[in-house]
Amino acid sequence: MHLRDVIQPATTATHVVGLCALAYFASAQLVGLSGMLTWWAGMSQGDAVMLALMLGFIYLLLLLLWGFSRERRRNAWLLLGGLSLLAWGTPLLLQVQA
Amino acid sequence: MGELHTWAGVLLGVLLFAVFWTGSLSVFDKEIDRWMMPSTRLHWDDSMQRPSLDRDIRPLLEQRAANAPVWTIILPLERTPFLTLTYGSEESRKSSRDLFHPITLEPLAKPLTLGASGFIYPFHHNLTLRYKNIGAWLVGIAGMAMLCLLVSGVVIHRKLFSEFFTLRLHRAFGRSTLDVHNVAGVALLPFHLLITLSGLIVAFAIYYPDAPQHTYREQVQSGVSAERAFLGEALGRIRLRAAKEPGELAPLEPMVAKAEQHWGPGSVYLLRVNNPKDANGNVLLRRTSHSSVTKDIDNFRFANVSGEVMGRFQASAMVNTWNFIAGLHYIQFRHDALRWLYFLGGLGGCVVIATGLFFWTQARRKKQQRHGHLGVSLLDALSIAGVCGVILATLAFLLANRCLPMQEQLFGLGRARVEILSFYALWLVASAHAVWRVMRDQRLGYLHAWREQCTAIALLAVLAVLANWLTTGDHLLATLRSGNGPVAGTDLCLLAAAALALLAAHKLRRRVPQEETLEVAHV
Repeated sequence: MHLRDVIQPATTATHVVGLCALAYFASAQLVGLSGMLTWWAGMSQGDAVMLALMLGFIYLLLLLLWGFSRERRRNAWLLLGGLSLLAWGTPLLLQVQA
Repeated sequence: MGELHTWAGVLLGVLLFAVFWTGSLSVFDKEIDRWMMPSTRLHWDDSMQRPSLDRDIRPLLEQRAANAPVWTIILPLERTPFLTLTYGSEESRKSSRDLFHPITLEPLAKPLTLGASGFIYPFHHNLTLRYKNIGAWLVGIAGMAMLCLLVSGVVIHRKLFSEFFTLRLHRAFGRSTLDVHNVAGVALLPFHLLITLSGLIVAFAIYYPDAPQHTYREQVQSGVSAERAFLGEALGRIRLRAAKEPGELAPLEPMVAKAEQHWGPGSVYLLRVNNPKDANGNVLLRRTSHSSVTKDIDNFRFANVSGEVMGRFQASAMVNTWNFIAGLHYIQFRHDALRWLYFLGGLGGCVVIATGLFFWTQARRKKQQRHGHLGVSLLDALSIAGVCGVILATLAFLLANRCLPMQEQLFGLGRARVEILSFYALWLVASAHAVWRVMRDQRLGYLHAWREQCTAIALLAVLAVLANWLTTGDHLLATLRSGNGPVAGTDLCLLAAAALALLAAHKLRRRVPQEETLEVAHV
């Protein structure tokens, strides 16, 4: 058995698990951001969170499908990572501004 | 997309099958409960006179749990034709539950089983692994994988409409398996999308627990949990503290009458009395969701002592969107034909998953012959244990329910726990059998394992019907004649399962010589 036979599946497994975790993290941050933005747009707090929660699963599905359909793994990681950072940082920035 | 479809299916197919199987059974959980709890095989329809809350039911509560912190009264309904009272003890808020005849109010014999609603339904959504919601997370991961499978399935099957009409059952085994997978997958695609997405959305609190943090930051700063504030505002779930001063509970009937003025006669089905003997206690009334798809979470709250309305919760339009999605998944509406369609749709999902797994292992077998890997054999064993094993386990659960003696304690364990142990024990035995068969003969062992387990399914299903007859006297003709739908339906489904399993075993038996011939030709 070559070392390559072990490394290649391990790399694939790490990519799959890591990308799923990153997509989930990004979707969770997008849920928080969507809730906050829709609340600021005039929706009641409860409605805003409920809408964001329902959208969260659609976000996650789209991110997973998009991430796994990229030919270059690095692009999927960079773009999902960037989106996560953006969705995580925006509410904090907006709260500081407010 | 093709890889995503294959690997998500292969890695999570077995878990998905278990979730779809138990979900399909949960469509009829109350009916299976009637089968498993013979003392509750009663009849109730909404035109019958409900027992009086103050004259008949309150004395039962006072007598059994005068000092309990919470009383819950669930009035008889068509699918649960008995009165249910639950109450915590002084030491613990964990509820104990008593059932009563809906008319005479005689206590019913303790069921000594969790039934389908207490075991199969929880297994469907959390695999009964409650610690830190591990089971719910596993089910959630499987659910999201199912959504990915459905969407990627559409992408990889570009000839979607032609495949919808292509079912070649008489062609080669692999071809016909793939056709069944495609036809069932395409025909039931909208149902599977709906049921999977709604299943995830109803459990939002587990999957996105931090969602309210940013929106409710003001409440968080003032020391209130964001989650609690959100649940109170959106879903009307609030907790009121006891005053620790004695108070006398006001009559319950006028409260129900007041609520039913708004909701319509006979619409209240649940009353929860929080701190019944406290000056700050309250009574929460809930209405049934029988007449609409939307799950009704509206409630009336009355002051314990004065009997005055403290508040009325009405869900907003947005929350009712979520209630509609939840209602689509929970199926609490009263519509037998739709319930059967849900059941068949769920079983269709099982067929799609099982044929997908079967096709994948078939297709990889040729590769295995060339490279001599064990992987496909192990996946074969896993598929057999996951598909036939879980069905056998369910039948063991039903059979144990009818065959174990009606004693609270058996072998030092509660009877209900022994039933659950039977479920897992037979699943373990089925898994061991599959591994043994497949490893002993890596060429044809999988066919023998499928065939033997299908035969075992047929045998156990027939035994379950016989056991029901022998232990209760309710044989199929009697239940059909008396119109006992839940018991007759369960028996008929068991017999249908036995017939299908026998047919599958017969087809697999014919398949073994063909495979042997093919192997010889290949060599």
